[in-house]
Amino acid sequence: MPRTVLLPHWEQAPTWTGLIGKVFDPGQHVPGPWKPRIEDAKSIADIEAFAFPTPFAWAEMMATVLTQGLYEHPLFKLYQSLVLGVTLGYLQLEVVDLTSFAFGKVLADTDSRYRYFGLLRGSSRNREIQGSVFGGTSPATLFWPSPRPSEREWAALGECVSGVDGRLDEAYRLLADLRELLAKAKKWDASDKRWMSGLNRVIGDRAASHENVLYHLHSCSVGPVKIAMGDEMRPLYMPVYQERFSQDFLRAVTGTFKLEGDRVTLSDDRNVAQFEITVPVIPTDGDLVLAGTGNLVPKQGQVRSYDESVRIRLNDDDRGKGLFSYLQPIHQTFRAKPDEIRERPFFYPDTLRLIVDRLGDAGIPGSDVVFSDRAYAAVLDSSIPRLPLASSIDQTENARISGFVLTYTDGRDRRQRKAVYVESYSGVEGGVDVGDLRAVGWVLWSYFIGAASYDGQIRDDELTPLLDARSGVPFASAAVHKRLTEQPDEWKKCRRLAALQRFVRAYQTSSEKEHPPVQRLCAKAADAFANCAWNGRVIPNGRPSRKTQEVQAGQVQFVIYRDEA
Amino acid sequence: MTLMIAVGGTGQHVALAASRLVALGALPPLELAVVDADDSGDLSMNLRTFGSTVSPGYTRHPLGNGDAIYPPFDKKAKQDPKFSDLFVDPNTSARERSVFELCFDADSAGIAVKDGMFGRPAIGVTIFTQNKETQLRPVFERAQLVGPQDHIFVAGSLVGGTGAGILPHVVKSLGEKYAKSTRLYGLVFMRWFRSPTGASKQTISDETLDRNMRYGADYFFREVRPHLKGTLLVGLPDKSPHGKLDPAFLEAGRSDEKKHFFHVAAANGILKLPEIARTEQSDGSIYGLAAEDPASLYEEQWLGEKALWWYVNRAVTVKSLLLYAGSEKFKGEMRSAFGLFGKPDNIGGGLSEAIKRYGKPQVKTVIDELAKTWTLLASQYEFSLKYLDEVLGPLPEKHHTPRRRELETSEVSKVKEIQDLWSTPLPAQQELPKPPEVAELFHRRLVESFK
Repeated sequence: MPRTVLLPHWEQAPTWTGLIGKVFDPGQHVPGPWKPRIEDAKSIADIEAFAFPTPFAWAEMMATVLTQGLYEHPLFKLYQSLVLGVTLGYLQLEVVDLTSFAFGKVLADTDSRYRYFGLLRGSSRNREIQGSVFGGTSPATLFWPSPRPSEREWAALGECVSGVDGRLDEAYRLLADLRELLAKAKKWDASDKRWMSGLNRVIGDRAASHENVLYHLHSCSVGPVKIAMGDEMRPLYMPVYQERFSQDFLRAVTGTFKLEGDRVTLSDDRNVAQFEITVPVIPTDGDLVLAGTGNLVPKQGQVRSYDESVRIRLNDDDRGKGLFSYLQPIHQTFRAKPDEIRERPFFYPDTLRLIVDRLGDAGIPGSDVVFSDRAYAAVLDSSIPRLPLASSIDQTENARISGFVLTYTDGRDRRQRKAVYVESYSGVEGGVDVGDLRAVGWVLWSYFIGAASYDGQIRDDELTPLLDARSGVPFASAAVHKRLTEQPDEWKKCRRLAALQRFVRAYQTSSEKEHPPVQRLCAKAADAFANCAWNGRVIPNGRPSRKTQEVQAGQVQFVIYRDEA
Repeated sequence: MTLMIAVGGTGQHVALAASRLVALGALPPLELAVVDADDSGDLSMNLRTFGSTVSPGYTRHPLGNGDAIYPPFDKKAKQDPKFSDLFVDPNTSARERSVFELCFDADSAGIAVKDGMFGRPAIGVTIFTQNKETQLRPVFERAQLVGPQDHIFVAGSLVGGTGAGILPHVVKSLGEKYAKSTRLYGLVFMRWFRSPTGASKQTISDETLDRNMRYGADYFFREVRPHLKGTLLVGLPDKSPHGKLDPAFLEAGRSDEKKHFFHVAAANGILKLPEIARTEQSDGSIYGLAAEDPASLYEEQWLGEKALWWYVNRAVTVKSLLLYAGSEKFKGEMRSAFGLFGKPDNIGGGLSEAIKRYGKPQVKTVIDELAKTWTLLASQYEFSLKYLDEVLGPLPEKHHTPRRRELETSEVSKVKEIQDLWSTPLPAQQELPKPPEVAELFHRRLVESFK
């Protein structure tokens, strides 16, 4: 009889001559005839997950279902309910440090990847399932179903995610957004036979929302879930559909903040808590990211701005510490740059994701980029996803963004900074006029025609300062914007072509590259204002004015002109 | 020294096979650590006493620490706990209870664990992990002492309840914590036996064995293999090429050794896997056995690149001489050598000198002690040789050496060998050794004389 390889279901002859020889290389997977036979299970009761040698046997079973592509398996049906349940907010993700209790230590000891473990528990959205645990999280599968809920409970969850509340479509599109964002960041591989294949199957071929607006504007994040991506493990935040969540959060950032234990509370002017930011205290061997640092917890239904304020209080001001002062530990934990957060928002908690997504470079403490209050206000009221990154605003015209980036040296610390003057930009649901340039242009015009004077500040005839240099650079004040927006006569008064031509001419001399950036800003602002006032292109004309005034505004010095005519 | 960690019943079988081969000299010295809930059944007692041949003061176990078995949980702690009782009680927080219930279905939670794990590896591993720092500390401490030139072998099966649950996590614990820089190898069994017939509902069935094998293999490939420098994987082929490769039959209520070719073949992996690792990048690779006739194992190379048949011949030869040396006849010869007209050379000049050192009043006692030791040593050879006979078949005649044949049949030859081999005195020692130690030294001379 020929020599036989002493293994079950092995048909090939041995390829070696002695007693012992190689049968599997390191990369080879378990062969088909040895795989668990799980396809025949009709219900949870038929599933013998306990045969896996791990306390996370049900997670292993879920992984096997996904690896074998058994999308008709009872477990996969429940998996779908879990994914949609989380996305629709019927299941909340409760992250637990397993090492904080005895049984958890045993679990973490068997597999340290599970230390920060998520429980999927029924939320208050539905009383029938509230409080019941429907599943857990896993690095391989994302979620896995618990063997304990009754059929009735699963049916109740299934009912919740069946579309009865009319949001199922948004949930799928939101998940498609996540998939698209992962793909853009080159983190998506649907051929990976783990959670991505499962999620891909749940989403199907549904399309993402245009420019992922659902993800950026209408979702909050839960997590993170420590997840396998290729050969690495990353913290993934899952999106939950929540209309206007991004705007609501930013509106709350106009309020006041207080650190209370392991939370930072954001309150409105009635001292009603609107959000909490988690800043957990962890043991020395803990992980701040996985413990949920920076997660947002909404506290009430309707969010309101602080006293109708539109000032997003990231930095310290006259009302006290800004939000950045409280987010230092979070930023120190993540140490991420704005472009990293924008490219891979799913790796960051909402506190970073939403602020950076909406405010761009200004969304990081100690940022060298500043926008005008008017631009921040646009973020609050508009459905435009985000302020542009400074790098995307060129000196030349951009089809979607127009403005000017003023680079200057801050005399206080000698650092190079950028002030972004946004004239207009367009996004998903239309364009927005911020008008930073033309507002500054109106100030320069007011001085040019003698309607404003300079005594250390440029003031109008009522001595109201027309520039706001608190940020270190001259933006037009709120009063100027209010005037230009609410008083159409202001524009009518400016329709003096000859004067406008001389005005533009005066500043044209400093529009070339060899001139200081702030002078080029003035030239651009003058142009923007004149074109807007005339409602058409104003061609420079006349002799350049020789009546100049040196002005100091914040950290910059520049020259302004008065009409000689 | 290389360490073998034997997990569960299968691990004990491999350890017993390896013990015999160490006793024969076919494997190098090994240290043993056994992890199993069963530490007093027939198999366990056989392993711990090396077939009742270990006699303190006279003969040792071939393996270091061979007489100790470490149960994975404290059997005395609770009388008859359910699995859930080990982890949750009325004072457990709601969150902790939620996590427990998330991981274990109601049936698993209700298992009475004193009766075993009922083929549920998930339960086995959880109990193991809970207790490993207390119950198994000596095992991991031993692992930490293994030197960089030595190895650790983990032997066990993927199929049962206790062993299948524990083996993956012993490997992972070693690989991740206790022996991170030591070379780890696996001697891993898939199915090698059939379940007991007429078994009650709660015991392991063929279906259970098959199921556990599949789930265990799946988990092993993904999670365990990466920690191992190399694995020898052993299991029943669909069509057995030889009667001795048929599955062993377990019988309900019996826990004796089920001798099988697989165990001794797996023991060969202790030599072969490190050899392979020296010449190729074997990390994560899995190796198998190929055979058609178990007797072919006699021709495989073992320690010192000698074939097993050489060790068998040596053992038969030495056993034959030891049996004679421990016999009443030779005892008589030894006593006579110290008589009035005694001739010391009749028993070997060196032996005679050694006995003389104890003084005349002690001669009888010393002779009795020497004889007892040689008889026990012979029984250790017998224990090993009989096993090989059973699992491999008798050594083919073509491998019998002339010296062996002669000694098997001629008493005169035995006498002459002893006289010759024991003619020179032992090296001088300051302290007078105990008689069993002297017996061992003369035993070694017999062993070393075999070329």
